[in-house]
Amino acid sequence: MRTHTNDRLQGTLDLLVLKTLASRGRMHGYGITLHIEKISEDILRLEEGSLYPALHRMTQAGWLRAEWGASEKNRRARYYTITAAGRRQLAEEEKHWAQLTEAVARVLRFA
Amino acid sequence: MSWANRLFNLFRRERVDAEAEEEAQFHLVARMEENLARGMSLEDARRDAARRFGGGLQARERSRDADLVIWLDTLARDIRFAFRNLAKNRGVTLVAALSLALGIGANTAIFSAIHAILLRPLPYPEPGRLAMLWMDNRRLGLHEDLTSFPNYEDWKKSRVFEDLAGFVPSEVILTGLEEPARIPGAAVTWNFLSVLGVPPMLGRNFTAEEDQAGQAQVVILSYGLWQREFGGDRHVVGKTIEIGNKPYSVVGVMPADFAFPTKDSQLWRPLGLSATDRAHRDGYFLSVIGRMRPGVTRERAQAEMAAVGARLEAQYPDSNKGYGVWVVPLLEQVVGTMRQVLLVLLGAVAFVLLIACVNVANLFLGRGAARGREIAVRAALGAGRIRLVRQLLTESAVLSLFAGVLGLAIALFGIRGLVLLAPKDLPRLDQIAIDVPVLVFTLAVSLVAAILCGMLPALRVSGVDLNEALREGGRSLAGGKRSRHMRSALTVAEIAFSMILLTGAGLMIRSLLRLQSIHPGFRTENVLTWRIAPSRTKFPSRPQVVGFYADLLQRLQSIPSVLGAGATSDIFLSETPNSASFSVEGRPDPPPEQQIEATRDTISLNYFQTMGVTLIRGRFFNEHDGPDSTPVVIINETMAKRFWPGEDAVGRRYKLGDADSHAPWLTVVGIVADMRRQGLEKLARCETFLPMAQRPAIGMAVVVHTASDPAKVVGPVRDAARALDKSAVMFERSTIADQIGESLSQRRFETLLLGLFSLLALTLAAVGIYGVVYQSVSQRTNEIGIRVALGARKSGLLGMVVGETLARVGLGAVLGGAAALVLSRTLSSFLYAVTAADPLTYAAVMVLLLLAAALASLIPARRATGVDPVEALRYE
Repeated sequence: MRTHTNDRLQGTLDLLVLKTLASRGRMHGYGITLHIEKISEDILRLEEGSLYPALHRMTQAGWLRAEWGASEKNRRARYYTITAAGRRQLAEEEKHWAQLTEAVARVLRFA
Repeated sequence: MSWANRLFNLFRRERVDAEAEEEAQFHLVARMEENLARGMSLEDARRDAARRFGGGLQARERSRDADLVIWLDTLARDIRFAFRNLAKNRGVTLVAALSLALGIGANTAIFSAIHAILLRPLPYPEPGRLAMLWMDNRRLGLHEDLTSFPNYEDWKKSRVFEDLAGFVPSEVILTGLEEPARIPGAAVTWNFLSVLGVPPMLGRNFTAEEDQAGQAQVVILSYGLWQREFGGDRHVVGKTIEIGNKPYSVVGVMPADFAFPTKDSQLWRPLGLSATDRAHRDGYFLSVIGRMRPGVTRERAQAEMAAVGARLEAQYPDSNKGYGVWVVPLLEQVVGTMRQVLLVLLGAVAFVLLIACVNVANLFLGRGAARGREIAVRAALGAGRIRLVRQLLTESAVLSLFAGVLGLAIALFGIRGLVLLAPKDLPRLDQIAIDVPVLVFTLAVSLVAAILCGMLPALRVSGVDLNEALREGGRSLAGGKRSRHMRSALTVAEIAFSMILLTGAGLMIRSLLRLQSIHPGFRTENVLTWRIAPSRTKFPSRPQVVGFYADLLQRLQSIPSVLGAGATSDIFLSETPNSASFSVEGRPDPPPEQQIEATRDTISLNYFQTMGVTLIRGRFFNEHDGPDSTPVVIINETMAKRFWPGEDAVGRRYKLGDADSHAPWLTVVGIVADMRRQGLEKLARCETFLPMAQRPAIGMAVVVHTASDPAKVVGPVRDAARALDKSAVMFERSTIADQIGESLSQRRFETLLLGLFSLLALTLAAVGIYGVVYQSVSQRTNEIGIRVALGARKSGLLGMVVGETLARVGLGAVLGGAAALVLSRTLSSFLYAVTAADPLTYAAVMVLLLLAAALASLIPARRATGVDPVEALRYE
């Protein structure tokens, strides 16, 4: 069920979010933003507003679970955790990403 | 998707939407805080956060305001938010809603009266074209004087009126019943009902022939009389009814809501004037109503009729010199002085509402403290100023509408009270109700109140400096200098409004007290009054009537506990009492327009003694003043001073009419002190009293002075009258005290209402001051704590807090006093023996206000100064 094969960018965002949540556990949207920025050393900069539609879509698809909780500063924030379905999706996405990058690398090398 | 799911989503969508927004806000705030921590300026931090987010939020806000559906959606959200907010601060909300509800309720109640009495059209077709026509008596300065039949006939020729009708309000005595009954009604010209435009419900109108003297005796009945006397018989037309022992046949029945000229008119009959009555131009007895031609204005009718009056004046100087014509639209005539009263009361309740609005605005401003941070963050996130104002106004609208509903409930009670308190003769009293126009008014008032009490705080809060607001945690919104000034100004305003109202009420109360302390010149306690008329069949001649009253008084005197009894043709005088001009012996007659008329009353022996009237000179009447002895008269002091200034009037003579008249000379035998017979407010006019034996009268008012409660002698008095004539008609039973009370009832009503409203205003203002001081000291807990810690005395702190309040109250009282000086001029026609600038009233009201304000600020101030300094300092 690959509905977004053509939408690489979206797939990439999904991959980054799923990977972040898989490695770091429970996080809110802003935390995810910061994490991605930090790990990529500010190379990957999201348009932060577009993160949330992606989070909601993935929650609807059952890959993430969302719940309200208190933030570090004791404010209400929505926290996301990855589900089993999400982990399967992540594996899938990782495989596709590896295939893709490998394919692109091959083209770059031999073309 | 299933049908149920769709429905579910319809509700769910809103929640999802709200949650998404909250999530986005959390993100933005977090980003902003991080930016701030990195040392960015607030504005940069905000801009950066918004830029990174992609501007989605602001775009969403803007598109929301553009789309109507979304606009409504936002409104719904604002309303929900408002409810949540109002529910969160239940105490404040309740006080605010109650304040507004009292204001709205009072306005609704008064407006319902205004609507019923002033605005609702009269129950006649095209009522705007109906008007009353009067003789404008310039000599007495009396605009509404009766006219004569020849004048009426000349007026009829005018082009501005389609038709005129004449009538004489009068009462008839229904006989043939178990006990004779007095029925109020009118003798009317035959076209009376057609001028009013109301045909009988059953039967027919009078004919011109029936309006001739000595013609068929016919009557038209009111619906109520028809129900009562004929049990609502549909075949009543043609049946007879007995009036004064003579049969009259019923020709018609009027519809249920018809009552003219008075509220209790029940029977109409043709005037049936004789040829001589029709010719007497100086016989003034007729009231006239007319229907103006379509499109004729009141001004044109008045101008035209004034010209007619001037022509008649020139043509018939003997009778018409000094008289013009005065046109009064019927509605104005019916409403009378109530118009001004109601408008003054409307002004009063408007001030009450203003005070309530000021209170609520103050509470909102004060609450800005608690909401400062929330609003600052929302503004920082890019919520537009308009968006914020809208949110805050929605809140005050929700509050006002809630208060409006509450106010309607209050108004329902208020109206009931109003009807109970109102003078019984208040026109159209029974029609006061909460109907659609009143509901619309209430809604409009609620919305105006919402804008009044929401706009200031909304603009203030939304115009706040974000930097300052965030740094100080929002305190600057309420504690800031500008905000404090605004709250001071509002306090000053509400005190000024209260001052205006209290001054008005104070002036009215002073007037009423002055009036009530006036001695009318006759006995007011323990006097029973009762009109008694012997039947004509049993006492046909004048000497017999005189005998009846003499015997009756004799019997009354012998009732135990009766201290005295007398009789008079009239105890009190109407606005237009019967009076006549006269000629003083040995003096030339003054020109007609300078002539002064005197009232004439018939009295029995012992009348003045029974009424406790003081004899100034001469003597009272005695048994020797018989029908055949010298005609004698007793005059009042005003008349003596007017006609025989510096002389002794006793022994002087005058006669009715002019110097050539054949009327007998009347010799003045006594002068009595003035009596206030036209109500306590009016000075006595020239009055004369003639002995019953020389000038008999029928239907005299018997007065009985008793040792104790006059109600106890009602039975014996009736028995005494019945023993002499079992078909004697007895009516208008009352006491002097009750009648004086009634004459003051409208004034009492006005004073009571104005007093109540100003008390309400004072209470609201006190609550407002309490709230302001309470909020201001709780915001200054820190400062007060420091002062206490530094050794400030409690009394000094109390003085500081209360003193600040009193300074504002003083300013408000002075401003309000100045406004009251101007506004109370509208009251001047209601005042008696008190000027609109009465210094005592102003001083008393100011003291009252200061006391109330001191009390209202002392309570919260004491609480604040009682705090533990350590606790207070930790408060931050």
